[in-house]
Amino acid sequence: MAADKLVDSTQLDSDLTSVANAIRIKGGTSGQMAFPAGFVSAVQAIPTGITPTGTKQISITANGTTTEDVTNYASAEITVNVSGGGGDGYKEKWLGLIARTQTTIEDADVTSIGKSAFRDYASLTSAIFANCTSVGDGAFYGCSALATLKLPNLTTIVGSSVFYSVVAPLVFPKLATYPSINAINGCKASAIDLGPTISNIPSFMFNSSSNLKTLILRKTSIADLGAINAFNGTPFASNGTGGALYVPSALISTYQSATNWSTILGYANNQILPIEGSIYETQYADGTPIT
Amino acid sequence: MIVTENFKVGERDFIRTYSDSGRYVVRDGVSYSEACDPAEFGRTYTEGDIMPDEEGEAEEILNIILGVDE
Repeated sequence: MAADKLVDSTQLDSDLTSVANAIRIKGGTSGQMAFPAGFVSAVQAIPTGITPTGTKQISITANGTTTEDVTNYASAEITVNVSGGGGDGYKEKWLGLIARTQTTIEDADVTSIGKSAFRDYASLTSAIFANCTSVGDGAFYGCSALATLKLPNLTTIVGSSVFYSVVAPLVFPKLATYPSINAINGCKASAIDLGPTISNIPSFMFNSSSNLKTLILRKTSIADLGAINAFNGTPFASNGTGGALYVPSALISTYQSATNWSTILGYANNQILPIEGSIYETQYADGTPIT
Repeated sequence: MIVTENFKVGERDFIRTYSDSGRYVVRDGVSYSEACDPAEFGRTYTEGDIMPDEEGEAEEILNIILGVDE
């Protein structure tokens, strides 16, 4: 055999020691190991079931295949991100979703729903996430059969077109933030209840939400309207069939005289009504009782 | 510069106020992308801060519609 390379034995010893140290650290041992059989057996002895601490965001691609090995994570340590979504212990639960054969989902462990998580999931009829606080860009875009959507603890909408074509009433009693424009555009809900916190309605907010007949704003001071184009393509628009804005009774005259609201409410078909005495005094727009 | 335009819906006159330099219009400390009022209100507005890049947001929306990851 031709000797085509000179071996620096000192360097080789150093390199092998580095590799051995790495194996020892991974394997939790300080034992001596001989090269090569000792290395091989030491690597094979490293347990595969190490449970990491902390949380793990799981990614599932748009076509429903997971790209991450989550088998070592205890389910309690997983922050499920549906776009995102799934995880050890959750795998079976989420298989139906991944294959899109499942028509309903209810999971109190989900805390955030990522970008395009349920995009174009046209057979999904019900989605209930009691503890989800955040939804991302286009998360429910194209879920045209989604008649029940419950996100009672949603505080943050990230991105745009999040509920595009969704027919379920959008009821967000804890909503606090959303991006500047187009957060809820294109939904097909007939009623939207933005709860008591939202203090402004930005441009194009409800753009093309063509079925929006009822909007409920529960904040006890006026929610400023950034531009009347927030209602473009809705029944509230100047060429629309009319919609009803429900607000606290003490604010009715304030809304009627406010910039932009005065114009929307000046259109003949629109009306402003007090929450008090209406069905929305005791229930949200999706019929959920207010407790 | 502040720009105003009159428009009519049904029999009612309204005034639209906006900035031609992409700024908010401001009245009583509240900023609006644009302001529309019944004409009889006679409201005036000043220019405020430059509005964020809505073009970028529009691109983002288009990406969502097309299913394009950024």
